[in-house]
Amino acid sequence: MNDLLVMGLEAAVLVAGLAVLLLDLWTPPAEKRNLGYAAAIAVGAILLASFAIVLPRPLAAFGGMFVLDEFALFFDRFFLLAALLVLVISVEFADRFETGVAEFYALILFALAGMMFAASANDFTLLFVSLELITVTFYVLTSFQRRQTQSLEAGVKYLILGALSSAFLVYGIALIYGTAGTMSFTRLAEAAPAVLDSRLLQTGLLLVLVGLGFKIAVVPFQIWAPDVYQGAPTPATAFLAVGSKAAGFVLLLRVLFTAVPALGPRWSRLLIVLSAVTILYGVLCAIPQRNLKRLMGYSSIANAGFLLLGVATLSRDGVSAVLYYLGGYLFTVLGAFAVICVALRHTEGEDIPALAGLHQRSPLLAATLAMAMVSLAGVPPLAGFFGKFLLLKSALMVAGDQPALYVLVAVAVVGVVISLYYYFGVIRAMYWPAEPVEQGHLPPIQLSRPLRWSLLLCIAGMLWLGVLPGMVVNLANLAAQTLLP
Amino acid sequence: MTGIFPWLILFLPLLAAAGITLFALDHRAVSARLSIGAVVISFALSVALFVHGTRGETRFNWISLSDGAASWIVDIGLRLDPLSLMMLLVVTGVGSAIHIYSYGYMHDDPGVGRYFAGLSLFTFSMLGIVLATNFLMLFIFWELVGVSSWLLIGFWFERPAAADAAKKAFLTNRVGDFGFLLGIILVWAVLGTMDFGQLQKMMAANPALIGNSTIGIAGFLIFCGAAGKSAQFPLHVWLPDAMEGPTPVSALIHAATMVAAGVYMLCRVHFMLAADALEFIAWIGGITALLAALMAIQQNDIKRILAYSTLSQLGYMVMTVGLSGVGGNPSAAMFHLTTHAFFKALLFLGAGSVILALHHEQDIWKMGGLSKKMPVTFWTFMIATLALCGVPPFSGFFSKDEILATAQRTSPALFALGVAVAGLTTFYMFRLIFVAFTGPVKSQLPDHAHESPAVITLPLVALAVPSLLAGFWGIDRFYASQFGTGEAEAATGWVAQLTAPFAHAPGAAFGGLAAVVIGFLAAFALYWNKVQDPLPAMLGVVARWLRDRFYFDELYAKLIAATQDALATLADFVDRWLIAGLFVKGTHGSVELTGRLLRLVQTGNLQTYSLMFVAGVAVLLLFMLIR
Amino acid sequence: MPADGHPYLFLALFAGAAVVFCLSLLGLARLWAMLVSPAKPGPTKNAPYECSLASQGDAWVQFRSAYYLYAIIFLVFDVETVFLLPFAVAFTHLSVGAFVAMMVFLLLLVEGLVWAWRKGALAWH
Repeated sequence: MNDLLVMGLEAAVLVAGLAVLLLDLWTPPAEKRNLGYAAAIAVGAILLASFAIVLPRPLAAFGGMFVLDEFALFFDRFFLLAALLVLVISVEFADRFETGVAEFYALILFALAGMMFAASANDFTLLFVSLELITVTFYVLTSFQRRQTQSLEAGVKYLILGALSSAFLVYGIALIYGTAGTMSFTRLAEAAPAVLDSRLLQTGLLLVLVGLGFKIAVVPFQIWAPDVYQGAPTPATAFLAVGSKAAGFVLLLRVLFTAVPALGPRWSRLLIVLSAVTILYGVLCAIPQRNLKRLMGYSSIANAGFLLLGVATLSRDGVSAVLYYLGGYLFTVLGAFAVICVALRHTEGEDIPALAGLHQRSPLLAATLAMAMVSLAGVPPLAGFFGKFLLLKSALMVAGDQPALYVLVAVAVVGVVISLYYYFGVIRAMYWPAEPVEQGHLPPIQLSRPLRWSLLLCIAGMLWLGVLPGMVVNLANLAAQTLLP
Repeated sequence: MTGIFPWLILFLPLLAAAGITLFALDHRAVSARLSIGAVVISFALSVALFVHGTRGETRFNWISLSDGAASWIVDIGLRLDPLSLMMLLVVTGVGSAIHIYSYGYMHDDPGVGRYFAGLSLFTFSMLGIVLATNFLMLFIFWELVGVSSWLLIGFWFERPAAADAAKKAFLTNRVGDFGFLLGIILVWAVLGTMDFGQLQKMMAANPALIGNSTIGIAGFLIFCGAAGKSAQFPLHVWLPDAMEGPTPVSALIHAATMVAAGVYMLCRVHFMLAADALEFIAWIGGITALLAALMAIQQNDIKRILAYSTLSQLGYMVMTVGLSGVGGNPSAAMFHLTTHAFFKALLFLGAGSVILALHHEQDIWKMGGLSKKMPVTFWTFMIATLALCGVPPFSGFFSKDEILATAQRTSPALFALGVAVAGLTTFYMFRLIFVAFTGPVKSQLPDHAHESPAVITLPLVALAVPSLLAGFWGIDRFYASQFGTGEAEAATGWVAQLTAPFAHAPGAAFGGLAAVVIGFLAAFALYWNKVQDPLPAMLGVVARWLRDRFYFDELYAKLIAATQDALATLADFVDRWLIAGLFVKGTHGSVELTGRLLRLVQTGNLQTYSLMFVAGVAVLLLFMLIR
Repeated sequence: MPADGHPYLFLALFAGAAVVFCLSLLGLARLWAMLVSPAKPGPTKNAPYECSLASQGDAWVQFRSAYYLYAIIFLVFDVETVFLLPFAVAFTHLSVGAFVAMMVFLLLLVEGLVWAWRKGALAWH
C-alpha cells in the first residue's frame, strides 16, 4: 500500500480519467463538453495537492522502479499545469468532435498519467510502459476527428512511425538487459565500467535514444512532427508539443544522468551535433511555411534543438536551464495554441495571412499570440528570452572543456536570429496585414471566461518567468540537484 | 505593516493605468475615478509614511545569477530616506491636485480614458524614479517617464504641432539618456555595483575614488541624463515645445515633477560627483537660468512664458547642485524644487483656467482685465507669482534665498547672475500679470469669460496654500538631514523664521529683494495699462532675438539637417549596397533557398518517412560505433 | 547436457528438436499418402476444405467492422480469466493487500464492460 501512496498523484489522475469516462455515461449530450471543465478542476486540485508534498529525501516504490524526487515532482507539476490548460483549450474545440467528447478528455488524462509515470521512471520497464501509455493515447488523440482526412492521415503517420520507434526502443532495452542484466537505472549505474565498454550496451542505449528522440522530435527523427502537428486536432497538437516532448526530455535526462552517467562524455559530441542540426533544420524549414500549425511544428523541432543544447552541456546548470526553458515553453506554446484553436475557426484556412485584423476582432487573442511569438523568438523581457539566456550561459560556462560547444552556441544564436523572421511574420500578419482589413468587416470573436483566464494565465506566466525568474530558477535548480548532486 | 506601503504607492497608479487601458478606455467617469483614486490613495499612504517617519530600504532579489566566481545580482528595491519621502509627497500631492483638475479641464475631450491612463502611467514611472535603489531601476523608470511624457505631449496627436513636439521631446531626451546610459555602464564597470547605498558606502570608505578620472567622466555622463530630463542648456529646446500638450500635463510633467527628476537624480548621486563635474554643472545651470529668463521676457504665449520660467528656475536648481561642492549639501536645490513644484503647478493650472475661459486662446495680448472676471484664478495666480518672484513671506522667497546664499558663499559671478535672473523673473511675471489680468481688454474674448467651475478652482486653492506657507514648514532642514551636514538651529516663531534669511545671509536676502523691486518697477513702468508691447521698439533687434529664442531651434535644425544629410547619404549607400544587397538579400536568399530545399524532404509520404527514420538510426549507429 | 556449456546451447538444441519434430510428422504424413492413397485429383477434391460446403467467391471478403467491438470486449473477459484463475488457486495464501489490488483490477475491467455496455457496443445494429 505504501507503494501506492508514493504514486498518489498518478493514481489520482488515473482515477480522474476513469471518473470522466463513467460520468460521461450519465451526462446528457448537451452537457458533455463541460466535463472538460470538471476534468480541468480535478487536474487543478491535484496540481495544488502536489505543492503540499514535502520531500526530505527521494521516495521509491515498486522495488526502486518508481521514484518520487524533486526532479519528478517538478515535472509532475509541469505536466499537470500543461494538462490543465490543454483541457480548457479542448473544451473550446469540443464541438468539432462528432462523438466521444468525454473520451477525448479522458484520453488527455491518461496521457497525463503516462507523462507523470515517465517523470518518475527509474527503470527501463517503466520507461517503456509510460512511453507507450503516452504514445498509444496520442495515436487516438491525433486521429480524433476521424471524418477529416487530415486528422486520420496524421494519426496513421504517427502510429506507424511511433510503432517503428517503439520497436527500436524495445530492441534497445532488450540489448541493455542482455548485456547488463538489469533494467533498473540505479543498478545499471552501479554496473562495472567494463560493461559500459560493451558495443552491445552502447547500441542498446543508442536505440533507446532513438525512441526518445522520436518523442522529442530531434533530427533525424523529427520527420513526423510537421505533418502530425498540422493534421491533429489543435488541443492534441498542443499537448503533443508540450507534454509529449517534455516527457521525452525527462526520460532522456534520467537515462543520461542516472542510468549511464559515465557515458555522458562519450555522447557529448553526438548530442552537440544533434542539437545543432535540429536547431538549423527547425528554423530553416519554418521560413517558407505559411500554415500556422505547421509553423509551430517546425518551431517545436527548433526548440527541441535548443533544449538538447542544455542537455549537451552535461552540467547541472544545463539541466536546470532545460527545466526553466520548458517552464517558459509551456506558457508560450499553450498560449499560442489556445489562440490558434480559437482564431482559426473564425478564419478561412489555417494560413498565416488569415490572421489579418485579429487585433480588431479580439485584442486579447492577438496580444497573446504576439507575446507568444515574441517569447518564442527570445526577445526580452519574456520567458523565452531568459530561458535561452540560461541555456546559452550554461553552455558557455562549460565550453572550456568541450570547445565544440562554442560552435553550438554560435549555431543557436544564428538560429535565434533566423527565427525572428518567421515569428515576427505572424505578428505582422495580425497587426499590419499586407492587405488591410476594413474596419468592422470582420465580426469580433467572443471568448469564454475560462479561456480568457487561461490566456491571461499564459501571458502572466510568460511575463513572470521573464521578469521575475528567481522562483522558478530555484525550483529548477532544486530539481536538477537531485539528478546531478 | 508599513512595509507594503511603498509598494502600494508605486503600483497603485500602474494598476489604474492597466485597468483603464484594459477595461475603461471609453468610460469617462470610470477612468477618471480610477486614476484619481489611485493617486489620492498613494498620497494618503505617502503622508502616513511621512508621519510614521519610515526610513530604510525594502527590496527583493530580482535577478540573481551566481556561478561561484562571478555573480550578477540585480535587486528591485524601494528606498525611503528624507529625499525620497519628501519627493513622494510632492509627486503624489501635486499630482492629486492636478489629476482632479484634469477631470474638469479634459471633461469634453473624447480621449479622456487615454489621457488618464497616460497620467497614471506617468505617475507610476515618476514614483519609480523617486523610490529607485539602483541605477538600473532608475534608468528603466527614467525611460518610462520619457515614454509617458511622449504619450501625453502628443495627446492631441492629430495636431501636427503636438505630434512634432512629442517627437522632439523624446528625441532630445534620448540624446541625454545616451550619455546617462554610458555613465551608468561606466560606474558599473568601474565600481561593480549599481546600488546607491553600496556606492555611497564605497565612496565614504575610499574618498580618493572621487578623484578617479573615470568616475569623473561617469559623473559628466550622468549629468547628460539630468540635462536632458531637466531641460538644461543645450538640451533645453524641447521644453517650450512640450507646451503643446494639455495644460494639466504641462503643470504636472513639465513644471512640477518630471523636469525635476534631473535635479532629483543629481542630488541622489551627489556623493559621487567630482569637483570638476560640479563646477561644470553649476555653470550650465547658471547659463540656462539666464538665457531662459531673457527669452521669457519677449514671449506672448501665456504657457510659453511659464515654460521659459520653468527652464530658468530649473537652471537655478541645477546651479545650486553644482555650487554645493564635493560632499556638500545640495538641499537648497531640493527645497527650491519643492516650492517650485507647488507654485509652478499653480501657475500652469491658473493659466489653464484662463485658457479654458477664453476658449483656448493663449496669446496674452488678446487678454486683459481678467482679474475682475476670474477672481479666484487671479488671486491664486498672484500668490504663485509672488512666490516665484521671491517676495517674503511666500515660499519661493525662502528657497530662492538659500540658493542665492549658497552662490554668494562660493561664486560671486554666479551670485550676480542669480540676482539678475531674479530681477528678470519678476519683470516677466509682472509683465504677464499686467497684460493678461489687468489693464484694458484687448479683444472680445475676455468679455465672455467667467470663473471656472469648482473642480478647477479647488485644486488652485489647494496649491495656493503650500505656495504661500511652504517656507515655514522646515522642508529645507528635512532635506538637509539627508546629507548629514549640520545646519544652523531652526528659528522658532513666524517672525523669527521670516527674518532668519536677513540675519543669516543679508547680502543674498537684500540682493534678491532689490532685484524683485527693480524688476517690478520696470514691469510697471513698461506694461501698466498698455495694449501693445513697447519693448521691441526700444530694443530693436535684441527683442527679436529674445522672441526667437536666440535661434537655438533654427541652429539645431540646420546642424541636424546637415549632419543628417551627410549621414543619410552614407547610411543609404551602406544600407543599399552592403546591408540590403550583400547581407540581407544574400543571407535571406540563401536561407530561404535552404529552407525550400529542406522542405522537399517533407514529402508527406509515409514510406519515405519510415525509410528516413531507419536511415537516421543507421547514421546514428555508424556515427557512434564505427570509428 | 553439459551443465557448464553455454546457456543458449540448450535453446538451440530445443529449437532444433522442435523443428525436427514438426518436419518429421509432416514427412511421415507425406510418406503415408504416397504409399497408401491413390492420386486421383479432381476439381472437387482440389477445392479448399470448408465443412463439406462448396466454397463461394473470394476469401478476401469484407467483414462487418462491428465485429471488432466484440473482439475488444472479449479481451476484458479473456484478461480477467487469465488473472482470476491463479488468483483463485492461491487465494487462501494471499494477503489483504493482494485481495484489494485484485478487486481494483476487477473493478477496472468491470468499468470497461459497463462503459462499453452503456455506449451500446453490445447491441447489434
